[in-house]
Amino acid sequence: MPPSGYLSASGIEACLQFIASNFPSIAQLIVLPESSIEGRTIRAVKLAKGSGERRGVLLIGGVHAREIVNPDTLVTFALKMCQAYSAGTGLTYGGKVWEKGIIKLIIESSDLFILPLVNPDGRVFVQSPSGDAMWRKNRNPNPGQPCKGVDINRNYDFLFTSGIMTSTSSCSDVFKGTSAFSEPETRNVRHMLDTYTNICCMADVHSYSELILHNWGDDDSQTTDPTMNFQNPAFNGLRGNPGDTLYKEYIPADDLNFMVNTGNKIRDAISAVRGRVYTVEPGVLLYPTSGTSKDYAYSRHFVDASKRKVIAYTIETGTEFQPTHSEGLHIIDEVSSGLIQFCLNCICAVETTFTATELAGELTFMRAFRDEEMLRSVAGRKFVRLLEDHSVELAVMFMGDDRLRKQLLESTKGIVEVLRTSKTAKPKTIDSKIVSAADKLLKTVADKGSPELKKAVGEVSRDLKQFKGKTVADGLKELSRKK
Amino acid sequence: MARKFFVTVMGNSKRALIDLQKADLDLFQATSRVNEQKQFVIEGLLSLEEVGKLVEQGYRVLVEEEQSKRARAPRETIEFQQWIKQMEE
Repeated sequence: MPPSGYLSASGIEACLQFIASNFPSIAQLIVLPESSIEGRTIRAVKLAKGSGERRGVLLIGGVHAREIVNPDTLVTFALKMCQAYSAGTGLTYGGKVWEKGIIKLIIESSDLFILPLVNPDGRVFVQSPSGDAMWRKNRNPNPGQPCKGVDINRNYDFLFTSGIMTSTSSCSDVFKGTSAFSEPETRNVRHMLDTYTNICCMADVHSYSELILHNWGDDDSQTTDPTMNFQNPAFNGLRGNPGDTLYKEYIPADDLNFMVNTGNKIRDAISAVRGRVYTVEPGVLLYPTSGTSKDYAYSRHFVDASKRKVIAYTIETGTEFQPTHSEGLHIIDEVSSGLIQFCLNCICAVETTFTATELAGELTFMRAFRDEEMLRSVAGRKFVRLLEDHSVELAVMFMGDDRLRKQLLESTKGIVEVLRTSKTAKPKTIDSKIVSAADKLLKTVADKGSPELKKAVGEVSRDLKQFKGKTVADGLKELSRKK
Repeated sequence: MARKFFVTVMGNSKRALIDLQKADLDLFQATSRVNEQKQFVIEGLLSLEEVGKLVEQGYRVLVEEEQSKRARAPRETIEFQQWIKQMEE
Protein backbone atom coordinates (compact mmCIF):
# COMPACT_ATOMS: atom_id res chain seq x y z
CA MET A 1 0.00 0.00 0.00
CA PRO A 2 1.44 3.39 -0.90
CA PRO A 3 1.81 6.10 1.75
CA SER A 4 -1.16 8.42 2.19
CA GLY A 5 0.68 11.72 2.44
CA TYR A 6 3.93 13.64 2.05
CA LEU A 7 6.56 13.16 4.72
CA SER A 8 7.06 15.91 7.27
CA ALA A 9 10.53 17.44 7.48
CA SER A 10 11.29 15.26 10.50
CA GLY A 11 9.86 12.32 8.55
CA ILE A 12 12.40 12.83 5.76
CA GLU A 13 15.11 12.85 8.40
CA ALA A 14 13.69 9.70 10.04
CA CYS A 15 13.59 7.97 6.67
CA LEU A 16 17.31 8.61 6.15
CA GLN A 17 18.00 7.17 9.61
CA PHE A 18 15.84 4.17 8.76
CA ILE A 19 17.72 3.53 5.54
CA ALA A 20 21.09 3.76 7.25
CA SER A 21 20.13 1.48 10.12
CA ASN A 22 18.33 -1.13 7.99
CA PHE A 23 20.87 -1.33 5.18
CA PRO A 24 24.19 -0.74 6.96
CA SER A 25 26.25 -2.60 4.38
CA ILE A 26 25.33 -0.17 1.60
CA ALA A 27 23.96 2.99 3.24
CA GLN A 28 25.96 5.44 5.25
CA LEU A 29 24.62 8.62 6.86
CA ILE A 30 26.48 11.86 6.24
CA VAL A 31 25.96 14.72 8.68
CA LEU A 32 26.40 18.01 6.85
CA PRO A 33 28.72 20.44 8.60
CA GLU A 34 26.14 23.19 9.03
CA SER A 35 22.76 23.13 10.66
CA SER A 36 19.93 25.10 9.13
CA ILE A 37 19.26 28.68 10.22
CA GLU A 38 16.74 27.38 12.79
CA GLY A 39 19.20 24.78 14.07
CA ARG A 40 18.06 21.61 12.31
CA THR A 41 20.70 19.02 11.50
CA ILE A 42 20.89 18.30 7.80
CA ARG A 43 21.86 14.84 6.60
CA ALA A 44 22.57 13.03 3.39
CA VAL A 45 22.98 9.34 2.69
CA LYS A 46 25.63 7.61 0.62
CA LEU A 47 24.62 4.38 -1.12
CA ALA A 48 27.50 2.21 -2.27
CA LYS A 49 28.89 -1.28 -2.02
CA GLY A 50 32.62 -1.71 -2.32
CA SER A 51 35.26 0.93 -2.61
CA GLY A 52 38.12 2.00 -4.83
CA GLU A 53 38.14 4.57 -7.58
CA ARG A 54 34.56 5.10 -8.70
CA ARG A 55 32.35 7.90 -9.87
CA GLY A 56 29.98 9.79 -7.62
CA VAL A 57 26.48 11.05 -8.36
CA LEU A 58 24.89 13.73 -6.16
CA LEU A 59 21.10 14.12 -6.00
CA ILE A 60 19.66 17.03 -4.04
CA GLY A 61 16.11 18.18 -3.39
CA GLY A 62 13.92 20.24 -1.12
CA VAL A 63 15.78 23.45 -1.92
CA HIS A 64 12.59 25.42 -2.50
CA ALA A 65 10.27 24.76 0.40
CA ARG A 66 6.95 24.75 -1.45
CA GLU A 67 8.08 22.16 -4.01
CA ILE A 68 6.80 19.43 -1.79
CA VAL A 69 7.13 16.19 -3.75
CA ASN A 70 10.89 16.12 -4.35
CA PRO A 71 12.26 15.19 -0.91
CA ASP A 72 9.75 12.33 -0.86
CA THR A 73 10.95 11.31 -4.30
CA LEU A 74 14.58 11.17 -3.20
CA VAL A 75 14.06 9.22 0.02
CA THR A 76 11.65 6.81 -1.67
CA PHE A 77 14.18 6.34 -4.46
CA ALA A 78 16.96 5.68 -1.92
CA LEU A 79 14.86 3.24 0.09
CA LYS A 80 13.73 1.26 -2.96
CA MET A 81 17.27 1.09 -4.34
CA CYS A 82 18.42 -0.38 -1.01
CA GLN A 83 15.52 -2.81 -0.81
CA ALA A 84 15.99 -3.99 -4.39
CA TYR A 85 19.75 -4.40 -4.04
CA SER A 86 19.44 -6.30 -0.78
CA ALA A 87 16.73 -8.59 -2.13
CA GLY A 88 18.56 -9.11 -5.42
CA THR A 89 15.60 -7.84 -7.43
CA GLY A 90 14.98 -5.16 -9.99
CA LEU A 91 12.61 -2.20 -9.77
CA THR A 92 9.42 -1.66 -11.72
CA TYR A 93 7.91 1.78 -12.13
CA GLY A 94 4.70 1.70 -14.14
CA GLY A 95 5.70 0.51 -17.60
CA LYS A 96 9.43 0.66 -16.98
CA VAL A 97 11.36 -2.32 -15.65
CA TRP A 98 14.91 -1.94 -14.34
CA GLU A 99 16.55 -5.36 -14.10
CA LYS A 100 18.40 -6.45 -10.96
CA GLY A 101 21.73 -6.20 -12.80
CA ILE A 102 21.16 -2.47 -13.29
CA ILE A 103 20.55 -1.88 -9.57
CA LYS A 104 23.63 -3.96 -8.75
CA LEU A 105 25.71 -2.05 -11.27
CA ILE A 106 24.76 1.33 -9.78
CA ILE A 107 25.31 0.29 -6.17
CA GLU A 108 28.54 -1.62 -6.80
CA SER A 109 30.23 0.70 -9.24
CA SER A 110 29.31 4.21 -8.12
CA ASP A 111 28.86 6.30 -5.01
CA LEU A 112 25.33 7.63 -4.89
CA PHE A 113 24.97 10.66 -2.59
CA ILE A 114 21.42 11.72 -1.77
CA LEU A 115 20.69 14.98 0.06
CA PRO A 116 16.89 14.97 -0.01
CA LEU A 117 16.07 18.02 2.07
CA VAL A 118 18.48 20.91 1.68
CA ASN A 119 16.06 23.37 3.33
CA PRO A 120 14.28 21.71 6.28
CA ASP A 121 13.25 25.01 7.90
CA GLY A 122 11.35 25.96 4.77
CA ARG A 123 9.54 22.61 4.66
CA VAL A 124 8.49 22.90 8.31
CA PHE A 125 7.03 26.36 7.58
CA VAL A 126 5.25 25.18 4.44
CA GLN A 127 3.69 22.18 6.17
CA SER A 128 2.60 24.09 9.26
CA PRO A 129 -1.07 25.20 9.33
CA SER A 130 0.14 28.52 10.72
CA GLY A 131 2.88 28.89 8.12
CA ASP A 132 2.76 29.72 4.42
CA ALA A 133 2.22 26.78 2.09
CA MET A 134 3.72 28.68 -0.83
CA TRP A 135 6.95 29.75 0.90
CA ARG A 136 9.97 29.31 -1.38
CA LYS A 137 13.09 30.46 0.45
CA ASN A 138 14.95 29.42 3.59
CA ARG A 139 14.00 31.03 6.92
CA ASN A 140 16.91 33.39 7.41
CA PRO A 141 15.58 36.29 9.54
CA ASN A 142 17.78 38.67 7.52
CA PRO A 143 18.62 40.93 10.48
CA GLY A 144 18.18 44.61 9.69
CA GLN A 145 16.04 43.89 6.64
CA PRO A 146 12.25 43.92 6.34
CA CYS A 147 11.58 40.33 5.22
CA LYS A 148 12.71 36.79 5.96
CA GLY A 149 14.35 34.25 3.70
CA VAL A 150 16.99 33.85 1.02
CA ASP A 151 16.46 31.99 -2.25
CA ILE A 152 19.00 29.21 -1.84
CA ASN A 153 19.05 28.56 -5.56
CA ARG A 154 20.23 32.10 -6.27
CA ASN A 155 22.90 32.06 -3.57
CA TYR A 156 25.61 29.98 -5.30
CA ASP A 157 28.78 31.53 -6.61
CA PHE A 158 27.96 31.68 -10.29
CA LEU A 159 27.68 35.22 -11.68
CA PHE A 160 26.41 36.14 -8.21
CA THR A 161 27.20 39.84 -8.59
CA SER A 162 25.67 40.04 -12.07
CA GLY A 163 22.18 40.44 -10.67
CA ILE A 164 20.75 38.42 -13.56
CA MET A 165 17.16 37.77 -12.52
CA THR A 166 17.92 37.95 -8.82
CA SER A 167 16.93 40.53 -6.26
CA THR A 168 18.70 42.43 -3.52
CA SER A 169 15.40 43.00 -1.72
CA SER A 170 14.81 40.63 1.18
CA CYS A 171 11.08 40.65 0.40
CA SER A 172 11.63 39.18 -3.05
CA ASP A 173 11.20 35.47 -3.70
CA VAL A 174 14.49 35.53 -5.59
CA PHE A 175 16.44 37.42 -2.90
CA LYS A 176 19.98 36.22 -3.51
CA GLY A 177 21.35 36.91 -0.03
CA THR A 178 24.09 39.24 1.10
CA SER A 179 26.91 37.34 -0.59
CA ALA A 180 27.47 34.12 -2.48
CA PHE A 181 27.27 31.21 -0.03
CA SER A 182 25.90 33.46 2.72
CA GLU A 183 23.49 30.61 3.59
CA PRO A 184 24.33 27.42 5.48
CA GLU A 185 22.19 25.39 3.08
CA THR A 186 24.24 26.40 0.03
CA ARG A 187 27.47 25.88 1.95
CA ASN A 188 26.35 22.33 2.70
CA VAL A 189 25.90 21.59 -1.01
CA ARG A 190 29.33 23.09 -1.71
CA HIS A 191 30.70 20.89 1.07
CA MET A 192 29.41 17.79 -0.70
CA LEU A 193 31.12 18.79 -3.95
CA ASP A 194 34.36 19.77 -2.19
CA THR A 195 34.53 16.71 0.05
CA TYR A 196 33.43 13.93 -2.27
CA THR A 197 35.71 14.75 -5.14
CA ASN A 198 34.56 11.77 -7.20
CA ILE A 199 31.20 13.44 -7.78
CA CYS A 200 30.93 13.97 -11.53
CA CYS A 201 27.17 14.23 -11.94
CA MET A 202 24.56 16.17 -10.03
CA ALA A 203 20.81 16.65 -10.27
CA ASP A 204 18.92 19.29 -8.30
CA VAL A 205 15.28 18.22 -8.24
CA HIS A 206 12.73 21.06 -8.30
CA SER A 207 9.13 21.66 -9.37
CA TYR A 208 7.44 22.35 -11.69
CA SER A 209 7.03 22.21 -15.51
CA GLU A 210 8.22 18.72 -16.52
CA LEU A 211 11.63 19.89 -17.67
CA ILE A 212 15.15 18.49 -17.70
CA LEU A 213 17.40 21.53 -17.75
CA HIS A 214 21.12 21.50 -18.54
CA ASN A 215 23.70 24.28 -18.66
CA TRP A 216 23.70 27.18 -19.07
CA GLY A 217 21.07 29.21 -17.26
CA ASP A 218 22.46 32.73 -17.59
CA ASP A 219 22.26 33.10 -21.36
CA ASP A 220 22.16 31.16 -24.61
CA SER A 221 25.06 28.75 -25.18
CA GLN A 222 27.68 28.53 -27.94
CA THR A 223 30.43 25.99 -28.63
CA THR A 224 32.90 27.96 -30.75
CA ASP A 225 34.39 30.84 -28.76
CA PRO A 226 35.95 29.77 -25.43
CA THR A 227 36.85 33.38 -24.60
CA MET A 228 33.19 34.34 -24.38
CA ASN A 229 32.62 32.92 -20.93
CA PHE A 230 31.30 33.80 -17.50
CA GLN A 231 34.78 34.59 -16.17
CA ASN A 232 35.65 37.15 -18.82
CA PRO A 233 34.99 40.68 -17.47
CA ALA A 234 34.98 42.07 -21.01
CA PHE A 235 31.43 40.72 -21.29
CA ASN A 236 30.12 42.05 -17.99
CA GLY A 237 26.77 43.72 -18.48
CA LEU A 238 26.05 41.78 -21.68
CA ARG A 239 24.91 38.52 -20.12
CA GLY A 240 21.35 37.61 -19.29
CA ASN A 241 19.72 38.53 -22.60
CA PRO A 242 18.89 35.29 -24.38
CA GLY A 243 18.09 35.77 -28.03
CA ASP A 244 20.53 38.59 -28.64
CA THR A 245 23.86 38.20 -30.44
CA LEU A 246 26.06 40.10 -27.99
CA TYR A 247 26.76 37.25 -25.60
CA LYS A 248 26.38 33.50 -25.51
CA GLU A 249 27.94 31.37 -22.80
CA TYR A 250 30.67 29.00 -23.98
CA ILE A 251 30.22 25.28 -23.49
CA PRO A 252 32.50 22.64 -25.06
CA ALA A 253 30.64 20.71 -27.78
CA ASP A 254 31.41 17.32 -26.19
CA ASP A 255 29.88 18.43 -22.89
CA LEU A 256 26.82 19.82 -24.59
CA ASN A 257 26.36 16.59 -26.56
CA PHE A 258 26.68 14.54 -23.39
CA MET A 259 24.18 16.76 -21.57
CA VAL A 260 21.63 16.60 -24.37
CA ASN A 261 22.04 12.86 -24.94
CA THR A 262 21.84 12.08 -21.23
CA GLY A 263 18.89 14.44 -20.85
CA ASN A 264 17.09 12.64 -23.69
CA LYS A 265 17.69 9.28 -22.06
CA ILE A 266 16.37 10.58 -18.72
CA ARG A 267 13.32 11.92 -20.57
CA ASP A 268 12.72 8.50 -22.17
CA ALA A 269 13.10 6.69 -18.84
CA ILE A 270 10.53 9.05 -17.29
CA SER A 271 8.17 8.75 -20.22
CA ALA A 272 8.28 4.94 -20.13
CA VAL A 273 6.60 4.97 -16.71
CA ARG A 274 3.24 6.52 -17.67
CA GLY A 275 3.79 8.55 -20.80
CA ARG A 276 4.56 12.00 -19.44
CA VAL A 277 7.10 13.59 -21.78
CA TYR A 278 9.52 15.98 -20.11
CA THR A 279 11.30 18.57 -22.25
CA VAL A 280 15.10 18.66 -22.38
CA GLU A 281 16.52 22.15 -22.83
CA PRO A 282 19.11 24.63 -21.58
CA GLY A 283 18.25 26.21 -18.25
CA VAL A 284 18.02 29.71 -19.64
CA LEU A 285 14.54 29.12 -21.12
CA LEU A 286 13.04 32.53 -21.87
CA TYR A 287 14.06 33.81 -18.49
CA PRO A 288 17.73 33.67 -17.49
CA THR A 289 19.10 32.95 -14.00
CA SER A 290 22.26 33.37 -11.97
CA GLY A 291 23.53 31.90 -8.73
CA THR A 292 21.97 28.49 -9.35
CA SER A 293 23.27 25.09 -8.27
CA LYS A 294 23.40 23.63 -11.77
CA ASP A 295 25.55 26.40 -13.22
CA TYR A 296 27.72 26.59 -10.10
CA ALA A 297 28.42 22.85 -10.09
CA TYR A 298 29.38 22.75 -13.77
CA SER A 299 31.33 26.04 -13.65
CA ARG A 300 33.68 24.91 -10.87
CA HIS A 301 36.17 23.14 -13.12
CA PHE A 302 36.47 26.19 -15.37
CA VAL A 303 37.25 28.40 -12.37
CA ASP A 304 39.67 25.92 -10.79
CA ALA A 305 41.16 23.29 -13.10
CA SER A 306 41.97 21.07 -10.11
CA LYS A 307 38.26 20.51 -9.53
CA ARG A 308 36.43 17.69 -11.25
CA LYS A 309 33.95 18.45 -13.98
CA VAL A 310 30.40 18.01 -12.72
CA ILE A 311 27.67 17.50 -15.30
CA ALA A 312 24.64 19.04 -13.66
CA TYR A 313 20.92 19.18 -14.27
CA THR A 314 17.88 20.79 -12.77
CA ILE A 315 14.87 18.53 -13.08
CA GLU A 316 11.53 20.33 -12.77
CA THR A 317 9.01 17.68 -11.77
CA GLY A 318 5.26 17.62 -12.25
CA THR A 319 2.84 20.35 -13.20
CA GLU A 320 2.31 22.13 -9.88
CA PHE A 321 4.14 22.76 -6.62
CA GLN A 322 1.91 20.60 -4.47
CA PRO A 323 0.13 17.96 -6.50
CA THR A 324 -2.43 15.78 -4.77
CA HIS A 325 -0.54 13.01 -3.01
CA SER A 326 -1.99 10.40 -5.36
CA GLU A 327 -0.51 12.33 -8.30
CA GLY A 328 2.67 12.81 -6.27
CA LEU A 329 3.09 9.03 -6.14
CA HIS A 330 3.14 8.87 -9.94
CA ILE A 331 5.70 11.67 -10.04
CA ILE A 332 7.86 9.84 -7.51
CA ASP A 333 7.81 6.74 -9.73
CA GLU A 334 8.58 8.49 -12.99
CA VAL A 335 11.32 10.68 -11.58
CA SER A 336 12.89 7.67 -9.82
CA SER A 337 13.05 5.93 -13.17
CA GLY A 338 14.71 9.01 -14.67
CA LEU A 339 17.23 9.09 -11.82
CA ILE A 340 18.22 5.47 -12.41
CA GLN A 341 18.92 6.36 -16.03
CA PHE A 342 20.88 9.42 -14.91
CA CYS A 343 23.05 7.26 -12.64
CA LEU A 344 23.68 4.82 -15.48
CA ASN A 345 24.76 7.57 -17.83
CA CYS A 346 27.24 8.79 -15.25
CA ILE A 347 28.91 5.39 -15.00
CA CYS A 348 31.74 4.55 -17.40
CA ALA A 349 31.43 0.89 -18.40
CA VAL A 350 35.12 0.52 -19.24
CA GLU A 351 36.19 2.11 -15.96
CA THR A 352 33.72 -0.03 -14.02
CA THR A 353 34.92 -3.22 -15.67
CA PHE A 354 38.66 -2.61 -15.35
CA THR A 355 38.82 -0.95 -11.92
CA ALA A 356 40.53 -3.22 -9.39
CA THR A 357 42.06 -5.34 -12.18
CA GLU A 358 45.57 -5.37 -13.55
CA LEU A 359 44.34 -3.11 -16.36
CA ALA A 360 43.23 -0.33 -13.99
CA GLY A 361 46.53 1.42 -14.56
CA GLU A 362 45.86 1.46 -18.30
CA LEU A 363 42.61 3.44 -18.08
CA THR A 364 44.28 6.80 -18.61
CA PHE A 365 46.14 5.44 -21.61
CA MET A 366 42.97 3.91 -23.05
CA ARG A 367 41.09 7.20 -22.64
CA ALA A 368 43.89 9.09 -24.37
CA PHE A 369 43.92 6.56 -27.21
CA ARG A 370 40.16 6.95 -27.60
CA ASP A 371 40.38 10.75 -27.73
CA GLU A 372 43.55 11.09 -29.81
CA GLU A 373 43.21 8.18 -32.24
CA MET A 374 39.78 6.59 -32.30
CA LEU A 375 37.70 9.75 -32.36
CA ARG A 376 39.72 11.12 -35.26
CA SER A 377 38.64 8.49 -37.74
CA VAL A 378 35.25 7.47 -39.10
CA ALA A 379 35.77 3.82 -38.16
CA GLY A 380 37.12 4.70 -34.73
CA ARG A 381 34.17 6.94 -33.99
CA LYS A 382 31.85 4.09 -34.94
CA PHE A 383 33.54 1.73 -32.44
CA VAL A 384 33.31 4.36 -29.70
CA ARG A 385 29.64 4.98 -30.45
CA LEU A 386 28.82 1.28 -30.42
CA LEU A 387 30.55 0.90 -27.07
CA GLU A 388 28.71 3.90 -25.63
CA ASP A 389 25.34 2.68 -26.91
CA HIS A 390 25.75 -0.69 -25.23
CA SER A 391 27.97 0.17 -22.30
CA VAL A 392 25.39 -0.47 -19.60
CA GLU A 393 24.45 -3.89 -20.93
CA LEU A 394 28.12 -4.80 -21.29
CA ALA A 395 29.00 -3.59 -17.80
CA VAL A 396 26.14 -5.60 -16.29
CA MET A 397 27.17 -8.66 -18.30
CA PHE A 398 30.83 -8.51 -17.26
CA MET A 399 29.95 -7.75 -13.65
CA GLY A 400 27.84 -10.88 -13.40
CA ASP A 401 30.20 -13.35 -15.12
CA ASP A 402 33.71 -13.80 -13.75
CA ARG A 403 34.81 -16.13 -16.56
CA LEU A 404 33.73 -13.71 -19.24
CA ARG A 405 35.39 -10.87 -17.39
CA LYS A 406 38.65 -12.84 -17.29
CA GLN A 407 38.35 -13.48 -21.00
CA LEU A 408 37.85 -9.76 -21.59
CA LEU A 409 40.90 -8.88 -19.51
CA GLU A 410 43.12 -11.29 -21.43
CA SER A 411 41.88 -10.07 -24.76
CA THR A 412 42.21 -6.40 -23.81
CA LYS A 413 45.74 -6.92 -22.46
CA GLY A 414 46.85 -8.15 -25.88
CA ILE A 415 45.24 -5.19 -27.61
CA VAL A 416 46.71 -2.65 -25.17
CA GLU A 417 50.20 -4.08 -25.76
CA VAL A 418 49.79 -3.37 -29.46
CA LEU A 419 48.29 0.07 -28.85
CA ARG A 420 51.21 1.00 -26.60
CA THR A 421 53.54 0.72 -29.61
CA SER A 422 51.33 2.71 -31.96
CA LYS A 423 53.39 5.88 -31.71
CA THR A 424 56.79 4.19 -31.76
CA ALA A 425 59.06 3.72 -34.77
CA LYS A 426 58.05 0.08 -35.02
CA PRO A 427 54.37 -0.24 -34.18
CA LYS A 428 53.20 -3.80 -33.61
CA THR A 429 50.53 -5.30 -35.76
CA ILE A 430 47.36 -7.08 -34.71
CA ASP A 431 48.23 -10.76 -35.04
CA SER A 432 45.93 -13.71 -35.56
CA LYS A 433 46.12 -14.66 -31.86
CA ILE A 434 44.63 -11.31 -30.83
CA VAL A 435 41.97 -11.47 -33.52
CA SER A 436 40.99 -14.97 -32.56
CA ALA A 437 40.80 -14.16 -28.82
CA ALA A 438 38.69 -11.08 -29.51
CA ASP A 439 36.48 -13.02 -31.86
CA LYS A 440 35.86 -15.72 -29.26
CA LEU A 441 34.97 -13.07 -26.69
CA LEU A 442 32.61 -11.29 -29.09
CA LYS A 443 30.82 -14.56 -29.87
CA THR A 444 30.15 -15.15 -26.17
CA VAL A 445 28.96 -11.57 -25.71
CA ALA A 446 26.63 -11.92 -28.70
CA ASP A 447 25.21 -15.18 -27.33
CA LYS A 448 24.43 -13.59 -23.98
CA GLY A 449 23.35 -10.17 -25.24
CA SER A 450 20.15 -8.50 -26.38
CA PRO A 451 19.25 -8.51 -30.08
CA GLU A 452 20.58 -4.94 -30.36
CA LEU A 453 23.89 -5.89 -28.78
CA LYS A 454 24.10 -8.99 -30.97
CA LYS A 455 23.74 -6.79 -34.04
CA ALA A 456 26.42 -4.37 -32.83
CA VAL A 457 28.79 -7.24 -32.04
CA GLY A 458 28.25 -8.60 -35.54
CA GLU A 459 29.43 -5.28 -36.99
CA VAL A 460 32.51 -5.21 -34.77
CA SER A 461 33.36 -8.84 -35.61
CA ARG A 462 33.26 -8.11 -39.32
CA ASP A 463 35.48 -5.05 -38.93
CA LEU A 464 37.88 -6.82 -36.61
CA LYS A 465 39.04 -9.18 -39.33
CA GLN A 466 40.22 -6.18 -41.36
CA PHE A 467 42.83 -5.43 -38.69
CA LYS A 468 44.66 -8.76 -38.99
CA GLY A 469 48.31 -8.18 -39.90
CA LYS A 470 47.98 -4.39 -39.74
CA THR A 471 48.83 -1.72 -37.21
CA VAL A 472 45.81 -0.22 -35.48
CA ALA A 473 46.34 3.10 -37.28
CA ASP A 474 46.44 1.39 -40.69
CA GLY A 475 43.43 -0.75 -39.83
CA LEU A 476 41.40 2.31 -38.82
CA LYS A 477 42.51 4.18 -41.92
CA GLU A 478 41.52 1.39 -44.26
CA LEU A 479 38.18 0.81 -42.59
CA SER A 480 37.40 4.53 -42.63
CA ARG A 481 38.17 4.63 -46.35
CA LYS A 482 35.74 1.78 -47.02
CA LYS A 483 32.99 3.49 -45.01
CA MET B 1 -1.19 39.21 4.22
CA ALA B 2 -2.90 39.87 0.87
CA ARG B 3 -4.70 36.96 -0.77
CA LYS B 4 -2.71 35.57 -3.64
CA PHE B 5 -3.76 33.86 -6.84
CA PHE B 6 -2.10 31.57 -9.32
CA VAL B 7 -1.91 33.48 -12.58
CA THR B 8 -0.50 33.29 -16.08
CA VAL B 9 1.09 36.52 -17.29
CA MET B 10 1.25 37.10 -21.05
CA GLY B 11 3.52 39.59 -22.78
CA ASN B 12 4.07 40.48 -26.41
CA SER B 13 7.81 39.87 -26.45
CA LYS B 14 10.60 38.12 -24.65
CA ARG B 15 11.78 41.55 -23.52
CA ALA B 16 8.40 42.21 -21.93
CA LEU B 17 8.76 38.98 -19.99
CA ILE B 18 12.29 39.78 -18.82
CA ASP B 19 11.21 43.29 -17.81
CA LEU B 20 8.90 41.71 -15.25
CA GLN B 21 11.96 41.08 -13.11
CA LYS B 22 12.02 44.72 -12.09
CA ALA B 23 8.70 44.32 -10.30
CA ASP B 24 10.08 41.69 -7.85
CA LEU B 25 7.07 39.45 -8.29
CA ASP B 26 6.72 35.75 -7.44
CA LEU B 27 7.03 34.44 -10.99
CA PHE B 28 8.05 30.86 -11.72
CA GLN B 29 11.10 30.91 -14.02
CA ALA B 30 10.67 27.30 -15.11
CA THR B 31 7.24 28.05 -16.55
CA SER B 32 8.43 30.74 -18.98
CA ARG B 33 7.60 29.71 -22.53
CA VAL B 34 5.99 30.68 -25.82
CA ASN B 35 2.44 29.34 -25.87
CA GLU B 36 0.43 28.04 -28.82
CA GLN B 37 -0.81 31.58 -29.55
CA LYS B 38 2.85 32.70 -29.82
CA GLN B 39 2.54 34.74 -26.65
CA PHE B 40 5.41 34.95 -24.18
CA VAL B 41 4.03 33.64 -20.92
CA ILE B 42 5.08 32.93 -17.36
CA GLU B 43 3.11 31.65 -14.40
CA GLY B 44 3.18 33.21 -10.96
CA LEU B 45 1.55 33.77 -7.62
CA LEU B 46 0.27 37.34 -7.31
CA SER B 47 -2.08 39.53 -5.31
CA LEU B 48 -4.92 41.25 -7.14
CA GLU B 49 -3.13 44.55 -6.61
CA GLU B 50 -0.06 43.17 -8.39
CA VAL B 51 -2.27 41.82 -11.17
CA GLY B 52 -3.81 45.26 -11.60
CA LYS B 53 -0.42 46.92 -11.94
CA LEU B 54 0.66 44.44 -14.61
CA VAL B 55 -2.54 45.00 -16.57
CA GLU B 56 -1.93 48.76 -16.41
CA GLN B 57 1.51 48.12 -17.89
CA GLY B 58 0.01 46.29 -20.88
CA TYR B 59 0.33 42.66 -19.81
CA ARG B 60 -2.56 40.26 -20.07
CA VAL B 61 -3.07 38.29 -16.89
CA LEU B 62 -5.18 35.17 -16.55
CA VAL B 63 -6.19 34.66 -12.92
CA GLU B 64 -6.60 30.94 -12.38
CA GLU B 65 -7.08 29.93 -8.77
CA GLU B 66 -6.73 31.22 -5.25
CA GLN B 67 -3.53 30.09 -3.51
CA SER B 68 -5.24 27.87 -0.92
CA LYS B 69 -6.78 25.68 -3.66
CA ARG B 70 -3.35 24.39 -4.58
CA ALA B 71 -1.83 24.49 -1.10
CA ARG B 72 -1.85 20.83 -0.10
CA ALA B 73 1.30 20.73 2.02
CA PRO B 74 -0.34 21.41 5.40
CA ARG B 75 -3.21 18.99 4.71
CA GLU B 76 -1.39 16.05 3.16
CA THR B 77 1.50 15.55 5.56
CA ILE B 78 2.24 12.41 7.54
CA GLU B 79 4.94 11.27 9.93
CA PHE B 80 7.50 8.60 9.17
CA GLN B 81 6.01 5.82 11.33
CA GLN B 82 2.74 5.97 9.42
CA TRP B 83 4.57 6.34 6.10
CA ILE B 84 6.79 3.29 6.56
CA LYS B 85 3.93 1.22 7.96
CA GLN B 86 1.91 1.94 4.82
CA MET B 87 4.93 1.23 2.60
CA GLU B 88 5.38 -2.16 4.24
CA GLU B 89 1.71 -3.20 4.12
